[in-house]
Amino acid sequence: MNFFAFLVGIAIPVILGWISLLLLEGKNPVLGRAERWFFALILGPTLFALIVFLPHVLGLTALTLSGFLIPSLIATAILIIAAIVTRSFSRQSTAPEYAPSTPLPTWMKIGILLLTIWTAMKILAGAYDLVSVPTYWDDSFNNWNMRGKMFYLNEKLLLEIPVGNGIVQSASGVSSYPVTVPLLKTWLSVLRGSWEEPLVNSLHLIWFAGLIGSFYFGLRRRLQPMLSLFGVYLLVSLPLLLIQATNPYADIFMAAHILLPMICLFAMSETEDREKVKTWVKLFGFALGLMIFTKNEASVLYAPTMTILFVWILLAKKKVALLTAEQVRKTFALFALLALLFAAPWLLFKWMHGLTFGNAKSVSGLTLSLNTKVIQAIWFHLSHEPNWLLLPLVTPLTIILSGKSAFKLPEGVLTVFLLVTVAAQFLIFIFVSSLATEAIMQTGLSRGLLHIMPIAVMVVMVLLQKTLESKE
Amino acid sequence: MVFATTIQTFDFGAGAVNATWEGKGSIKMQQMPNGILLQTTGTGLFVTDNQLTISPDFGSVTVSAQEPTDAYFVWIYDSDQNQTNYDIPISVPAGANIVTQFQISGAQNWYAANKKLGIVLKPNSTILLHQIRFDALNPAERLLETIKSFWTFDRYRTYSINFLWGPQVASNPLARQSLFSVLPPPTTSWTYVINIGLLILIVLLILRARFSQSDETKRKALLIGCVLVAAVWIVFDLREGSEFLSYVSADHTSYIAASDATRTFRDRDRFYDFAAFAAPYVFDRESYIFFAEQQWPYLGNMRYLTYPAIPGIDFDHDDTWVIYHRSDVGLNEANQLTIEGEPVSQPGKILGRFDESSFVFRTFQKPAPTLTL
Repeated sequence: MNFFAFLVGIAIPVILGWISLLLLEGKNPVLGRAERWFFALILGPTLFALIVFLPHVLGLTALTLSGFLIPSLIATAILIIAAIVTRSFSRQSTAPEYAPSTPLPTWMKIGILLLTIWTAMKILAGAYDLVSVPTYWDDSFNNWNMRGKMFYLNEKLLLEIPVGNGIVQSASGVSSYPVTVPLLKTWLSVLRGSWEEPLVNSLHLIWFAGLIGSFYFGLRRRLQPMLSLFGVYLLVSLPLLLIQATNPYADIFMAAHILLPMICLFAMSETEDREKVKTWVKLFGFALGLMIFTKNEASVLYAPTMTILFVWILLAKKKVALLTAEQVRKTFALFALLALLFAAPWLLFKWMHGLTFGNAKSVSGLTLSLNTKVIQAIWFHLSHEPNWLLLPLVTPLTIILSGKSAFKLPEGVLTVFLLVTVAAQFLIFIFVSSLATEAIMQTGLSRGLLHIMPIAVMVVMVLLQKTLESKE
Repeated sequence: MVFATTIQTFDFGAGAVNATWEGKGSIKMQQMPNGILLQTTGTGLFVTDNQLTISPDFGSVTVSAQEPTDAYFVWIYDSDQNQTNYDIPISVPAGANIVTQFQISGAQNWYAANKKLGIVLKPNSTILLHQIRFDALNPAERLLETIKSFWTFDRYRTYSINFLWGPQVASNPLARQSLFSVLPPPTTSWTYVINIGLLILIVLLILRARFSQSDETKRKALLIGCVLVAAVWIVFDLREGSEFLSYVSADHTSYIAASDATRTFRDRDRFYDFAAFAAPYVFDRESYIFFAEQQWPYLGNMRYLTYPAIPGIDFDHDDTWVIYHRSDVGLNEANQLTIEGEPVSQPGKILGRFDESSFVFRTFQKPAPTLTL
């Protein structure tokens, strides 16, 4: 029963996401067949949650089977009709702009295959553990699973969590986190007819699978298949990333939602085809809009940074005469419209219910002061602990070795995003006194870094490949 | 210890005493056939001026004691005008001829200089001391142990979701076996050693490339750098990945594949089976009283597991008490729950017992709220 609920519970959102992507790509598809499914694994469930969330908060539905099925099936039906009308299903997918498959020495191919097997072993072991053990971690039983169970048993979205002795946890705490993760757990339980830990926790594997697949195809635009696979190996080898990915926490979910708009930006920056730029812009707006419905960091840090990078890309396209000033304005408007369409419901809901915009702590009214212990904690985290293996050493070295080219488009979009978001996080922890504990205890610090680790690995792979090619 | 190539012992059997020892403070010494009987009324120091001729990595005491005894291995530097006692605590279990080891290399304030050595006993202690022994490893053995320490793993802990200590450097078997038993680890991080070592090598490669006129040399330096980083990365990943697999393996053995009656889970012992046992007793209650050995993490975890029944300490309203791992909570003759003998509830009965210190209790009547004016 768990397996059936899992299959159906994932299939509907993923199909919803897949058709949405197909429609957004329109006559100029840019995603490969498999790549689109991986994108759908990440964006589909979030879109599904948003579609269920809207009528529910408008008082039209309860979080029951019909409350989940009616809005999502109506949305799916509309999208299917739209796809039939636009002949999207029968459209031949043009070959995505992947890198050619250049030959590699046999020893290297064997080595990468062995590392891939090793990686698969770790993922399978982690997946087995995830679905076999009870909910152990604080944020799982205080937030993600707790809220999902509350929604399920009460058949409605609740913002306050009872603490006991008649006290309730204020809505400005964990309830300020978007409801996507708990809502999807509620959905699986509604399908199953009971709250089952293996089922609700298995959901996290979907985001991990989506992240791995999207990351591979993100690299494929630059690297040949085996080297892209090596990039996946590097990503999954990050110990803290693997642990987070195989436990019911929501930061891999966040990382996956950051990766997709960044892939869109990178590809958009790289392509010289005006129509493909437009397609990437639509996908970017869609992915960024849904990213707001994941975790608070999205609206405070990641979305603004990405939007600025997007403007940079548009201006660069204008500079090389790929886009006119008018087209730049229209393209930005298209992005803004799409992003707001998907971001607005949650932002409006937050504003109406007085929910905070910080990471369980409000970002407004925070006092500033230098905290040197945070600097020590960051240094210790990066240099003395194996959380990210050698990445904290290798990434800056790679950027330095690449010189100015690391900051030029298209690679620059990845490098600048990485540096800006790392710097912003560090500065926030160092100077915002009430958030310092999050760094000293390595809670918020490690999770914030986890969000951008796929981008860091991508920066290393892309810059190294470029540097090596330039020396040939 | 088969590892040690250099050993120095101080024996205390009759006729075998090989140093001059004296007692200071409230200590009585008595030669017995197989050792010296030490008895204290106040704090007592048993000390010798005889010097160590080796540089020990670890030491051990062989003791017979009727009760577990806390002792200290102490040293006092001859040159120290204040004659400060530096010490390493030793917990001696009860039993005959028990060998208790203690780590010396890396101990705070331990350095090569003439010093007095001894044992400090707390007041009212009695032990029969048979031998004090010091072990020094040779450089090859230390290197082997240091390499082995890289492959010594931590367990899945509550902090593992946020950070990992990773491999720690230990140069002797005793230190290696006790890695991660003291947190934060007082040892040097292998991760730091690797990072620094690799950084030096890469800087050397960059310098070589920088001062070379040949593009081929530059390209070679870059390739060597990439291969070097990839090789170290893979070795490091094999270590970290193996640690991760050891977590899963431990979960499999202790919980997933173990029988329901005996399984335990990480640091939570049998909490999850207890919660499943208690849940049916509270499913029809809005709230209940919950006492565990400590509030965190059990209160939050219990709240999740028994929701919508909420655990708390609302003595005035709740009739059901869920007690987990509280040996101080019992039942008196009046059928009231007691904490350290003091009644804390109205009379009731135990609905179900999970183990000796974990059970569910319900009062016969709903508590009447205390009126406060």
